[in-house]
Formats: sequence, C-alpha cells, structure tokens
Amino acid sequence: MKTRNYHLILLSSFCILCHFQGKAVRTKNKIYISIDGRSSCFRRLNATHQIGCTSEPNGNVGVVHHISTEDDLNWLLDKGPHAPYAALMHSTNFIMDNVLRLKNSGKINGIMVIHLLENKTLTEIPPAFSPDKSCPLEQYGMYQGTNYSGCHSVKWNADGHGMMFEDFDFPIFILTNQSEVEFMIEECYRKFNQPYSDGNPRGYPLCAVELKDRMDAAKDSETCIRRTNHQQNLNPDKYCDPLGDLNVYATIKAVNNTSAYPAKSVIVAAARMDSFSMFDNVYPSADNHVSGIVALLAAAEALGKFKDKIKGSISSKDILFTFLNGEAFDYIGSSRLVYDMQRNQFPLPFSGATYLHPVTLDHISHFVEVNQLAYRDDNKLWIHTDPISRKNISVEIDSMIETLKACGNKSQVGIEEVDQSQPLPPASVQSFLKEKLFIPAVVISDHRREFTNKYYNSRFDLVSQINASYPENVNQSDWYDYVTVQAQQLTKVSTMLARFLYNLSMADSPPDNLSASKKSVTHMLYCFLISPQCELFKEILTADFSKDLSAAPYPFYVGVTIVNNHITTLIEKLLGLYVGYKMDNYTSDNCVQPGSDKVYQYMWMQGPLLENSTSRDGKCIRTTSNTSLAVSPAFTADGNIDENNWRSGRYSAWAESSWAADAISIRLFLIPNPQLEIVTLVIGMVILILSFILCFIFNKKASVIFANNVAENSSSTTSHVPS
Amino acid sequence: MDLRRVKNEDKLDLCRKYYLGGFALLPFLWFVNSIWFFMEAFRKPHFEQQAQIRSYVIRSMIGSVIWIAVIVTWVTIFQLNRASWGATADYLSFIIPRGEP
Repeated sequence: MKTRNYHLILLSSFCILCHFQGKAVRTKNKIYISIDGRSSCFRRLNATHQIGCTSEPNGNVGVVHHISTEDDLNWLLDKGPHAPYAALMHSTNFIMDNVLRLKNSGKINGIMVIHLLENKTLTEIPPAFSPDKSCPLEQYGMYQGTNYSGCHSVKWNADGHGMMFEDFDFPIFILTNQSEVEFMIEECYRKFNQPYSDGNPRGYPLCAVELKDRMDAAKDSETCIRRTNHQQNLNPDKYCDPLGDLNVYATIKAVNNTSAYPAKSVIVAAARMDSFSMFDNVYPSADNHVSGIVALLAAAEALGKFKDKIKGSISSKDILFTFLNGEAFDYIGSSRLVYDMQRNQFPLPFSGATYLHPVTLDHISHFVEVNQLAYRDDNKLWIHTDPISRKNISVEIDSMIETLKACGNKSQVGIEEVDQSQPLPPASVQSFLKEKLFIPAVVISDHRREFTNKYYNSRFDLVSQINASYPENVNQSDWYDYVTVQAQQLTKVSTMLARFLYNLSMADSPPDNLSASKKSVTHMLYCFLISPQCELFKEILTADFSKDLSAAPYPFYVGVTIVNNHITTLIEKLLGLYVGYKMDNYTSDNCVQPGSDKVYQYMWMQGPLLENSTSRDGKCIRTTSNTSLAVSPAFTADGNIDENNWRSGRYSAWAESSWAADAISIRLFLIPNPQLEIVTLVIGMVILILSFILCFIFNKKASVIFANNVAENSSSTTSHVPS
Repeated sequence: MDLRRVKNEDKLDLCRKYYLGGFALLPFLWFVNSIWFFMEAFRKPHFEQQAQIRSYVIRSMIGSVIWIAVIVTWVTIFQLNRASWGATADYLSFIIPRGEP
C-alpha cells in the first residue's frame, strides 16, 4: 500500500514537470529584455593613459533613471536612495559638466544616451558638442615648446570638453532604436522608477539595467601590447591592437627611380582621411573630414585631365596627392610619411624592378593642405600659414597666397588670409614642419579663428549639418544626382584647388577649361555620406567587391592595423581612376602589374553600366595611385613596440582595447525588494536542509520500500576507504 | 591503497618514502603523508613502528606548515604588487586578468 502511494507521488510530480516542458521558455528570457540598438564607448590607450569606458567583467547593474531636466539630475544626485543608478540621458544634457557630476557622485554605474537622429523630440541636436580637446593634437604638433604652444592665441576647438580623453570606470552607451528607447522610458522608467510628484522615491520592485562593456586592455598601450606578445597561455589571445592603417597617394608625373628628380620639385597636396567619436562605429565625419577628401579628389580628377601637359613639361613640378590616415590620433599617417621620407622608403623601393622615385623631404617645394571646408566663416575659406616659417621664407609663402587668392577669384571662391601672427590649426603639415624644415605651406580651411564646426570629431558631424542633405520634395532615387548647395560650393573649391596646383606646378596660369566636375563632387558626397551602394563606387570596384558594398556609410575611423579600412580602399580606387590612364585591349585577366615595372598599379574596374543593359563596360586603369603604411613608427610592422621610436616620445602610441564577442550587451530586468530576496534565499536554504533530512530518513527506512536483503547487500558493498 | 591491509613494516617504509620524497621540493607529499598516516601515528594502539611513523608524520606536518606559510606569503605579496611590478609581474604570470592594470 505504502509503495503505491510513493509511486503516485512520483508520477504526479513527473506530470507537472511534463506540463512545463511542453512550452519551455528559458528562464533567462522570462527575466531579461535585451536592448540591441546600441553602440558603446570603448577603451583606447596611449603611452601613458587609458581612456574611454569599461564595465565590470559581468556588467554593471543600475536602477534606470531618466534625466530629461536639471531637476531629474539633481534628484538623482541629492535624493535618489537606490544607488547605483544607470542614467538615461538626452543629447542636450549629456555634457561634460553633468557627466563629471554623475561620475564624481559615485552614485551611478553607467550612462545611456538617447541617439535617434530621425526623432527631433527625443534627440535634439545640441548647439555644440565635441568630445575632442579644446586644443586638439597639441602634444604632437609643431608648436610644443614654442611661444605658440597651448593654443593660447586661438583655442581651436573652443567647444571641446575632452570627454573622449576621460577614463570612465563605468560603461556609456548610445541607444539607437526608437521602440527600445520608448519601451525603456515608458514600461521601465515611468511604470516602476519615476519618483512621485512630491519627489518621494518609488518602492520596489524597481526596473534596472545591466550594462556590459568589458574591455580587455588596461593601463597603457605598452602594457597591453606586452601582454599580447608574451603569451604563455595555451590559448593565446589579444589584449589590444595598435591604431593604424594605410595612407593613399598618387603622383602626376610618375617619375621612376632611374630618372632625374631634382630637389624642390614636388608639390604635396594633402587631406586627412579620418576623424573619431566616442562611440563604436558612429563616425559620420561630414565636415571633418569628408568635405576635404571630396574637394581634393575632385581637384585630382580635374588635374588628371591635364597630366600629359604637366608630364610633357621638363621644368614642371610634380604633384603628390596624399590622403593621410590616423591623423585624429596624434598624426599617425603624416608622422609615418615623414619618417619614411627621411629613410628613402616612400614610395617603397623594389629590387630588380623600376619603381616610383623615392620622395624625400628635400624634394618638397610646396605643401598645400585642405582641412575641413564645409562650414565657412563669413562664407569664405581661410588660408592659414605658419608664423615661424614666415621669418625665413615669407616671400615664397606670400607668393603662394597671392596665387591662391587669384585662383579663388577666378573660381568664385571667397578666400582670405588669416592674421599672419596666428599659428597653424591642427594640421598634417605640422608633422613636416616639426622637422625644422622651411617648406612654404598653406592650410586651407573653413574657419578664420576657432573651428566653425561645432561638432568636431563627434557623432553630430552630420551630413544634414553641412547643407549636403536633400530637400524633402526630392525623391530618394534622385538623391544620387541631386546637386546640393554644398556640392556646388565644394566644386568651386575643387576648381580653385586644381588651378592653384596647376599654377604652382607649371608656373603658368592654367587653361580656362581646367575645372572640377560638379557631377563627381555630387556623387562622391552621396557615396561617402549617404550610401556606398552607389553607381560611382560600383564602377570603380571589381564585380566581386561591389556586391559587398554596405548600405550604411563606412566609418571614417582609422581602426586597428589588422582590420581592412574600406574608406582607404575606396579613396585609392577613386584617386587611381582620376589620375590614371585607361588601358586599351586589357581584360580583367591581364590587368596585372608586370614584375619588372612597379611604377604603376593596374586596377581593374567593372566600369559604368552600358546603356539599356545590366552588363558593364569594364576597364583596366594604369595609375600611380597606391598606399603606404599609416602605422606609427612607435610600432613595428607586426604590432610590436619599436623601442627607439617609442622612447623618443615623438610618435603616436594609440592602441585600441580588444573585447570578447559577448562582452557588450544591455538588458533590462526588475529587481525585487531586498527583503523579499532574503526571504527567498532563506526559504531555499530551509528546503535544502529539509531535503537532506528527508533523504537521511528515507535511507534509514529504506527497508520499508525495498526488500530487506537488497538493502543489506547495497550497504555492505559500499567502500569507505580511499585507495 | 587500503592501509588496513598493509603490514606494519610496509607502512613505515611508505611513510619514510613520502617523508624523504618531500625534500625534493614536493610539499604535497608531506601534506598527504601527514593526513594519511595521522591515524596510524596518533590514534592506533601501540605497535612497534608507531614511534618512527609518528616522528615522520610530525616532521611532514612541520614541513607542510612552513610551505603553506611561504606560499601564502608569496601569493599575498604577488597579488598586492602585481600591478606595480609591471613587466616583471607579467612575465611571472601564466594567466593575466583582462581589463586590470
């Protein structure tokens, strides 16, 4: 009789289990709601510091508190009894002052910032926001230790608060999915956490968020590189990677290494390629630095049409177009270029073949740099020069400025010179002039004094801010060919640049038909800023590559050395097309560089669509366009530390922390009253102890269920002694 | 091995081997020895080899305690100073914690 009862109990409990198993939902999914529209602030390291954000290994938990007014912030700081909190902030109150107040209060465990650019009420674009320093790149510029140091004559990035360079021991995220943000505000914050109208806090349960953003590297780049390289573990892994990529360059005259290449016969025309923001993969970079990239590329295209004329003249100067990468991180690209030039390693020599004649610093006759160009002060562009060089070579600089102004006049670009005593703004040419060289150099930019770009190196440097977005009545399919105000202005700037470079090279005024193509500028702005899945980018790539073009704009962040940078490849191809020759009678198969001639690269491009067809008119382009390393000389090619250059302290030492695949996540959940938690724990422990006692009794009384002899046998065979 | 089935002279031999083995920088042998033969040395009724076993067990215990003290001291010093020792500490480490200085 007794046995039957036990059986019944067993059976019924099994059936209850069956019942649950029928519609199994993982307990995890019942507890947590995952937030996927996010982008995190992560850790970067230089020779002395770590900057950016990290969480604890298993994430930071905080009670969600929505801060939309100053009062909300003060409530959290002064009253909020349920610390630690996780602040949910808006773009307008996510400013350095507030973030530091929160950080120093010790009451928060993380910050989330609403970043919904399509929603003007949830994300208002602030009047100014720049996470860069107010005096960017000062430490590695040319004025360190001179009268001009510390930006004391002009604070270039007056709105810069340096949030990017702060070390946060809690995570900061931007949230980019509207329905998730609304859920968090309505269903999480309003329902559970919002204080009563009299300011009294809500009781449990509270809605909390777990913010996980765990970084692997720590302390400084030397430490994390050493740890990456000295692995004793059987399962080697990375702690960090150096920042760096490739510079893009091309020369017009394509002088090879066996030909004469006199000193002071090369004009360098440079633009920067990268910028940054605090958040992963959010690098819109419209003014800084797409405007400069597009202007210089369009100028290269215009000049490319006259390259035979420039090549044909013996006395003409060569023009070296360079697009420098990693400049936002202490001039990685330009410092490497200078380093290579000092060692005859640029462009790279080949043994047993002809190659482009190395360019040394002595070869440079002029330096023309374009900076940001889109937000014009007084609707004009401004010419910046270096007051120190002026003491020695003012005649050359003055004549450059005069020519440039004349070219501006001719191209209907308002361009003026800034006060001559004003030092250069942060610019790549500083890496060259730092070597105590006297190169006549001009930097063309859109600001007379402080940056006109209020969003320098931030997530708000948007296409909509530079008059390059499209009116509402224009169909999205027509955007590609729609000439925006900015495109018109940049075309004029490119024409001016091309004519200026021609004039410097030929010492003669350019032909009237030397002008930049409005169409190219329009297309490039669309492709870089709106969507890379555009006809221009498809034309310049091979069929395989063009299939993989992303729908969203590529990030203008230099990235780590081991990852391919799409922007670099695209600029290399565009420059290749613009200054190269189309080769007749070549197919995609024989469009390859011959082994004995390394002067030119051969690029196969699938070309434009044939009329009324889906097939394309492919072409082989022979061009000097190529890439050179943009890795700081402080690092070796394999990502190790170059002892001498490292210790010199003259070179960028930035590295980016690695993180595990599951290291970044956000999840919402409810936390119950702590008393309830304790009660649950105690009940659990009581049940555990009771079950031990029960088992003990069952064991003792086993003979009631099982036949006596079986029970005896099993106890006698049990061994208690270790052997 | 079941000590109950081992002859007393073999027990002594085993205990001596473990004790001597411990001198080859193998403190775990001493530790095992002091636990395994604890009953034989202190609890079992008197037998001929018991005095010797007891002396080996006591010496093994002393050795174990010294070793534990040394190891605990070293681990404490190392963990407290790992970050400030920099490269040296990294070279001494088999696994370096992620995200910590």
